[in-house]
Amino acid sequence: MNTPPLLVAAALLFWGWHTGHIILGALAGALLESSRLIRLRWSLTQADFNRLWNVCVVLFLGVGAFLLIDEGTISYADFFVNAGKRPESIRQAGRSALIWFQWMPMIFLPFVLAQAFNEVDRVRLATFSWWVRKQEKQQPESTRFAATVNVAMPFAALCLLSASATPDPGPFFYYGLAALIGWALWPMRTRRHSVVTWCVLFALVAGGGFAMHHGLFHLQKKLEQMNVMWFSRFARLGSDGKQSRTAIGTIGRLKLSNRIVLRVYPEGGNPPGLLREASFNLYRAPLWTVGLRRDFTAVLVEDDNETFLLRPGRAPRRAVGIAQYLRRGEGLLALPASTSEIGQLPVGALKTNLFGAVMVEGGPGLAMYRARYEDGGSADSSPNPDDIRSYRQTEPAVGAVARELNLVPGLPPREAMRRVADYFSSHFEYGLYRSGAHLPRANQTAIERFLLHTRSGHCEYFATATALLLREAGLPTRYAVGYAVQEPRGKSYVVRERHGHAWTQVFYDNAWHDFDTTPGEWHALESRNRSWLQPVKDFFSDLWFQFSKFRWGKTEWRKYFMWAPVPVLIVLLVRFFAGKQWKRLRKQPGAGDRDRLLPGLDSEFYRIEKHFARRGLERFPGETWRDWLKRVEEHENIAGRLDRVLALHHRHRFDPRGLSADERSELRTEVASWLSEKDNAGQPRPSKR
Amino acid sequence: MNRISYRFYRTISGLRHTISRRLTPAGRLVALGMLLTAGMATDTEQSHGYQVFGLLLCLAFLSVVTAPFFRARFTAERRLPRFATAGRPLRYTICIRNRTKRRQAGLQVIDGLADPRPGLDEFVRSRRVARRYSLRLAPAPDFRRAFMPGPVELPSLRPGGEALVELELVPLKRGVLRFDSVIVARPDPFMLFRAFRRAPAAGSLTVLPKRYSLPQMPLPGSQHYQHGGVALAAAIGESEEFVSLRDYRPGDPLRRIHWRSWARTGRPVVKDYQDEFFVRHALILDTFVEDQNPAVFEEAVSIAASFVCTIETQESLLDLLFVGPRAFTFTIGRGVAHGDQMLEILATVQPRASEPFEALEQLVLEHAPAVSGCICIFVDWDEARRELVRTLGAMGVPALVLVIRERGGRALERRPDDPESLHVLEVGNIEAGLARL
Repeated sequence: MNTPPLLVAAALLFWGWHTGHIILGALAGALLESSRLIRLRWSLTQADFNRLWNVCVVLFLGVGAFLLIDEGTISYADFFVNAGKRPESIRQAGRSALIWFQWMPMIFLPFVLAQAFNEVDRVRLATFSWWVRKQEKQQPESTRFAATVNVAMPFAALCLLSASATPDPGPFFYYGLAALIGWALWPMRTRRHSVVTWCVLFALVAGGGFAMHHGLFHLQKKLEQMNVMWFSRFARLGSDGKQSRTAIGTIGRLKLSNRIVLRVYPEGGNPPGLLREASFNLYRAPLWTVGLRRDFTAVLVEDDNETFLLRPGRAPRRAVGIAQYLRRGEGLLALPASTSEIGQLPVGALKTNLFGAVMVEGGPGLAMYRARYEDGGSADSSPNPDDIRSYRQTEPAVGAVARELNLVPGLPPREAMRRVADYFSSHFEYGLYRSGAHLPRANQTAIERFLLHTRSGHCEYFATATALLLREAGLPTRYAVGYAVQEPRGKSYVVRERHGHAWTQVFYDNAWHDFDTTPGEWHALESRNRSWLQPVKDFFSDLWFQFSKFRWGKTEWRKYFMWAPVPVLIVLLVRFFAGKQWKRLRKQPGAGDRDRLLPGLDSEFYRIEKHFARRGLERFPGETWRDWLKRVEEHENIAGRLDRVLALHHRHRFDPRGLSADERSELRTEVASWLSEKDNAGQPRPSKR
Repeated sequence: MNRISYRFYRTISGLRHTISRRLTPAGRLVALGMLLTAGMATDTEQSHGYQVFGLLLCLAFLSVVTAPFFRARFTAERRLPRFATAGRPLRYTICIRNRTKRRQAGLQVIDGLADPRPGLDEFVRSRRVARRYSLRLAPAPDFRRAFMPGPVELPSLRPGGEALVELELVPLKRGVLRFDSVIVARPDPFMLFRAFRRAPAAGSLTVLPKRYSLPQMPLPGSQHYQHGGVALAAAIGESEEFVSLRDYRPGDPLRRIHWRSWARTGRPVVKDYQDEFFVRHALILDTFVEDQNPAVFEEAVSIAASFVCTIETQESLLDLLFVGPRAFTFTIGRGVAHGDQMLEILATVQPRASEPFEALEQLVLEHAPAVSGCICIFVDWDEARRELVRTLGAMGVPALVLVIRERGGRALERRPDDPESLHVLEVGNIEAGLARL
C-alpha cells in the first residue's frame, strides 16, 4: 500500500466510529495494515482483479437494490402513484442512498485486500470499466489502456466519505476528518516549503473549512426559509385542511401564476365573494393549524348518490355552480363558508372537519358541483377555547395594538371589527414584495415587524393579525384560506391561482362570519401579474377545460362519442368488400385450383359412380367405395371387374406418388370400355330399394 | 453532427490533458471527493458530507490561489537524437537553467508535444473508419503521437545554475515528432495543483516506422542486365565499369571515343565498358487506402521498413516505389544511398485516400524491365492489384505479394489464379506471419 503507515486503518476506524461498526472497522483496518508485516503474497493476474471487481460491483448493486426494496415502509411506487407521499418517498430514497454510501468501504474491501496482498500493488485502470476492458480486447496493441493505479489512497478517501454519510456524527467528526486528511497530505508535501509554512497553511485550510461548513449549514437554513413560499405555492397548496403554511416572515416576491383553478357560475345575482377551502384556529408561526378534533368525518350521501347535506333541515336560497380540478380525484373543495348542501358531486366519499373544510376522495379529475348556501351561518363547529386563545405572550405587538385600539373583552363585536378594519385601512398598505425590512430582527416576530414597523404585507399578514387582534376583544376568530372571486367572464367568473386569499372568520350572532381586512387594492396589485400572453394561455386553458368536461362526463356530447366509431366501421366495411381484399376473396380457387388442391378428382371412376347412381345405386354418405361396390354387386353383375379400376382410382386419389402415365391411361381406358360395354348391354333398370 | 462530435472531442481531450498535467493524483482525488460531496452538501441535515466538502473546497482553493505567485524564469534546452523508432523507448535530456536570483527547489519538469489533435476532416475520416462495422459508441481514435513521461523531479537549482533531467518517451507513431515548450511546474504545498512556467524549447525528431525482424528468405529474381550500370557505383563487386579500349565500330556513341588514343594511333578508339549484371529489387508500397483501418497502412509501412533494413544492399539495389503527392522512386544499394534515408522517407509517407490505383500501376510497369523481382506490399487484394501482379508475371518479374488485412476483418478471397507467393498478414499477428514466409 502506498499510504502512510496506519492511515488506512485509522480511516477505517474513523468510519467504524461514525457508522456504529467500530469493531468491523478495526478488524478491516488491522487486516489491511497487516500486509506491511506479512510477507506472503498472492500472485493475482489482471483477469483475477477484473473478476473481483465484477463481484464487488454486483455486491454494490445488490446492496443498493436490497436497500431500495427493504428500507422503510413507503413503497417506491408511491413516488409515481401517490403525489401526497412523493416528498416522503424522495426523503426515503435519500436515506437509503446514504446507508448505501455508508457500507461502501465494506463492499470494496475484498478488492483492496486483494491488492494489498498481491505481488504487484497496482491495478490497471481498465479493471474499473467494462467498456474500457472491451476496447482493450479489441485493440490489444494499444498502449492507451495501460495506466495503473494503487487503490489504497482512494479507499482511505472512500472511508472518510462514507463516514460523512451519517446524519449525526457528533462534533468531533470535523476534527477527525481534518486530522486524517492532514495525515494523508503530510508525506506528500514538497520540499520547497518549510514545515512551518505547511502547518500554518493547513491550519488555515482547516479553519476555512470549518467556517465554510458552518456557512453552508446556515445558508441552507436561510434558503429553506426563502423557499417556503416556492414549495408551498402560497397558502392554497400549503394547506391540507389540518395546517396551512404561510409566507409570513419570509422575504422575496410572491409570484403566483395566472392559471385558472376554478370557474364559478352564480345562479342569479352575484357570486359569493370568498370561496373557502379550510379554516384554522391555532397559530404557530409560520403555521396555522387546527387544534384537537382535527379529523375528518364522512358525510352520508343522499339517495341520488351525488348530493351531500352539510346542514340538514336548511333551505338555502342561493346557489352557485363551481368547476374545480381535483388532482387524482382528491382535494379540498372551495365553497362559500355558509354552504349547507352540495349537489351534482359524484364522488366516492365526502368528508368534513369541524372547521368547515370539505374534502372529497375518489372523485373525477374535474368536479362541477352546485353549492347551495345562505348568507351567514355555517356548518363549522361552535367556538372552542382554541378560537379565543390569546397570543399576547408570544406576540407582544398584538397586545400593544389591542391596547392602542382599546380592544377589550366585552366590546360589541361589530365595534371591535370596525376599529380593526379602520386601523388596517388607514395605516397599512398591501404589498407582495417583502424586502429585507420585512425580516424580523432579533427578539422580534414577523407579526410584530408587520404591525409596528413595515405596515405592509400580503393577505396572510392581515388575516393573521386581524384574527389575533380580535381575540384580544374576546371574539372567537379563525384564519381561513381559499379564493377571492373577482374576475367576471361573461356570465361566469374565473378564479386564478393568484386569487388565492386568506381572511379572518369571526363568530358573533351565533354564527361564523367572513371578515376581510386586506386593503382593497390587493385585487389591482395582484392583477398586475398578468402576463401579455394570458389570453393565449386562457384559450388553451378553456380548451383543456372543455376536454376535461368531456372526459369526466360533464358534457352532453359525451354520449354521442360512442357513435364516433360507426363511420370508421362503415369505411372499413366498404373497404373490406369493395377494396382489394374483397377482390382477392372473389378470386377464390376455382375448379382447376380445387383439383390442384385435391388430386385425383379427375378420376374417371366417378363416371362409374354416376352410372350406378342413375340406376338408383348411389353411394351413401360415409360409405366406402369398396362397401358400395359390394352392395352394387348384389344387384348388378360386375363380377369383380371393377376391383382393378378401384385400386387404380384409390392410388390416383390418395397415393402421394400418384399413377404413372401408363396406369393413368389404363384407368381411363378401363373405365371407358366398361361403361361402353354397359351402355351397349342396356341392362334393365333394377328396382329401387 | 460531426462538428458537434469534434467539438466534444476537443473539449474532453483538452480537459483531460489539462487535468492530467495540472492536478497531481492527490489533487484528482480531492476533486473527485468534492464532486461527490457537493451532492451530499445540498442537504446538511441528512449527512455531514458538507463538512468534507467545505474542507476539500478550502484545500483546493488555497492550492489554486497560490499558483499565480510562481514567478520564476527558466530557459530550457532539449537534447534530442535525430531519429527514434515507433514503439521503442527513447531517452533524452533537458537542460534547465534558473534565470532568477533565488534558489529553486521542489520543482518538476513536464515536457510537452505540440497539439497532436487532428483537424475536423481527419477526425471525421477516422471516425468513419472506426464506425464502419457498427453504429455503437466507438472511442475516439488514438491520436497520441507519443507516450509522454509524467512530471520528473528537477534537482535544486542555484541562482543562475542549471540542471539536467533525463526523460524517456515512447513514440507511438512514425513521422515527425514536434515538441512544444518545456514546462517547469511548482506543486502547491499540499501537492495538489501545479503552477506552470513555460520555457520555449521547440524541437523535433523523426520517428522511423516500427520494424519487424524478417527471416532469411530467398528473394525472387536473379541478376539482371543494368543498362549503363550504376552511374555512381563505388569500387566494389562488379562495379568495374571501364574494361578496355577497342576500335570504333559504326554506331558507337561519340561520348565513348577516347580522344587521346585516337590522337596517338590516328584511328578512332572507343572505351569499352563491361555490362553490369546485378540484383535489383523493387519494393512496392501500396498507399491507396480506401476505407481500411489506418492500422493496416501503418503495418504496410512497417513491413516495408523491415525489408529496407534486412535486404543486403551492398551487392544489390533496392528501389522503393510508392505514390505520394506524386509518383516516387527511391533507390538504395551499392553505395548509392543509405537505408536510413529510405526509412526517413517511409517515416513520412502518407496514405492516399480515394485516388485511383492506376498511378502506382503505371509507375511499377515503367520500372519493371529493370528489376529482378518485386516485393509488393498491398493494403487490399482487389482486381486492380491482381492485374498488376499478373502483368508483372507476364513480364517475367517474379513478385512476393504481401497483403495486410485488419484484425477480424473479412477473409481474403483467394482465387486459383492468385500467385503462389501471395501471403496474407493480419494486423496484430504480423511478426508471426512474417516468420512463416
